[in-house]
Amino acid sequence: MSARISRRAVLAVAAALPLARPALAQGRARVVIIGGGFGGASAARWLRRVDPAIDVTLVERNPRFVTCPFSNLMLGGLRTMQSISFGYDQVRAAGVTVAIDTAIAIDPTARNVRLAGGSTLPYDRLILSPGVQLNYAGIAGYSEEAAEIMPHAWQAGPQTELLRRQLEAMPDGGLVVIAAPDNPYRCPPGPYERASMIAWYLKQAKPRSKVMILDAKDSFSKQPLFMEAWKTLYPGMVEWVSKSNSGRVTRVDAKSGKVTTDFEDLSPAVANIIPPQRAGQIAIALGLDQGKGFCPIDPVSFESPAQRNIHLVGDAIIAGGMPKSGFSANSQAKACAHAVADMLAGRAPAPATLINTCYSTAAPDYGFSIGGVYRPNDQGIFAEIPGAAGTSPLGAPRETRAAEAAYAESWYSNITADMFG
Amino acid sequence: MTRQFRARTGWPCAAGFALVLCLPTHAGAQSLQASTQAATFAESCMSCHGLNGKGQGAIPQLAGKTQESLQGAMTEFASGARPGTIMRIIAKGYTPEQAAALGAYFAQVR
Repeated sequence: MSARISRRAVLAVAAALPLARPALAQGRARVVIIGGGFGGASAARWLRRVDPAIDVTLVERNPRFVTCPFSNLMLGGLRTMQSISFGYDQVRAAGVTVAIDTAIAIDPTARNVRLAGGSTLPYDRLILSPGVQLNYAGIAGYSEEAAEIMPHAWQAGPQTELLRRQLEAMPDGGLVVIAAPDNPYRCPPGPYERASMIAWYLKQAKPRSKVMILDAKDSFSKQPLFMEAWKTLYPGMVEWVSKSNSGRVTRVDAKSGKVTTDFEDLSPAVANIIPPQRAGQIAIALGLDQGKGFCPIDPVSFESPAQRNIHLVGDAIIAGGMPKSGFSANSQAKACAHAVADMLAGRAPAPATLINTCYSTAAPDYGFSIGGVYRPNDQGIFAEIPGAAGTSPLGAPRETRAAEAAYAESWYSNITADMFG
Repeated sequence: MTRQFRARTGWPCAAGFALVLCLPTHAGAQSLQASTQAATFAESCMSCHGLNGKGQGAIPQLAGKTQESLQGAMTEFASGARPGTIMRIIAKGYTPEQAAALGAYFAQVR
């Protein structure tokens, strides 16, 4: 969800409802959740599981959710769009009211959410899982319109399909450019898994083609493992250009198809431009990012220090050592569900132990992982428990890589069933 | 972390916070809190191992295994005695008491 919601709209509603009382629970407590992705759908289902007496309403714009995890596998031809798309029937079956609608204004004083469809939802506590919005202005010449020619495919759906169609249409011998953003951004290993999956497709369909990653940073997640995989699986096909080697894309021109770095102009057959990101607009409009681009939270309650009774999970938050991943969002949402249920019942929430595990698939039988266990620390952020963070080893036998590719598939089945199944 | 965790729940029994194991000495609110703690720990495991530890595919199910086998696996992954992939990292994030409680939780799932 990245509802276009302005601070002015928020304030206008606040002004229009000066006498509205906080939606104090008279009977059942009411929780509204905005955003039906990994964070929001998990929070909705798990809140019902933790305390079935709470009324939970989930607001999501789209009737079906396409997961960013495994969307790279769709680009590689290993997955269909259908197999990475989920409806909300089972979320409803869990007793959640699902509103397919857009939140246009939040009044944190009156504690309600106004929807584009006209209704107003009162809440005792609000959970926001707005994901990221793309900062098109971060690359000169890039825009929402330009993304129809040079897709970002960083919010899965039509953009993913567009990029796949472009790969299918490009000639053998063509160049695919992936512009990777600087930290922080959604799914740190994502651009490199994408390069691997595109190389997998090209190796079979257009073997004279190449993939070039133009990077706005000098190192990346699971770097040695990706480098090893490219050397093993796609020798000579994948090139990574670091920021120090003038890899950062400074300008694009969708009309001419030109991609510009500090060093050169390129005219690739396919340009996948992943711009910098920040928290979803609904969180920014409320000032929950406190000018930082992503939102601080209390890591025990997930409540915003900027606004009482509003909790945040997922890619929009500043989560210390936890990366912005679907798994992190799911893990945070479960802990947040407990915290919200505790606070509604007048209990102090307890700090939770959270996990992140992230698989990358470099070929159908070649996967590897990064993972960690996290606790809130004295500085009020999630910190890795010492020793409990790391990646798959370098130089592992192919059976291990094949096992991890199978684990990745199993993980995807299980986490999507956790939310949508 | 361990100290803080113990201080909050104050379990009397080495087997950790499994409700059934703590009941004789620790009835009432504290046991309820203890069992809630076990559940919240277990919920993180379910993101890979499936809802209630009954997942699909290559990742092993946890539901219905004995507490001893689950706790033993955690201990051996953490020490490096057992070969594995991501669990060699994840298992290091849990104390022996927490691993015991997780084992007890999934052992009672039917």
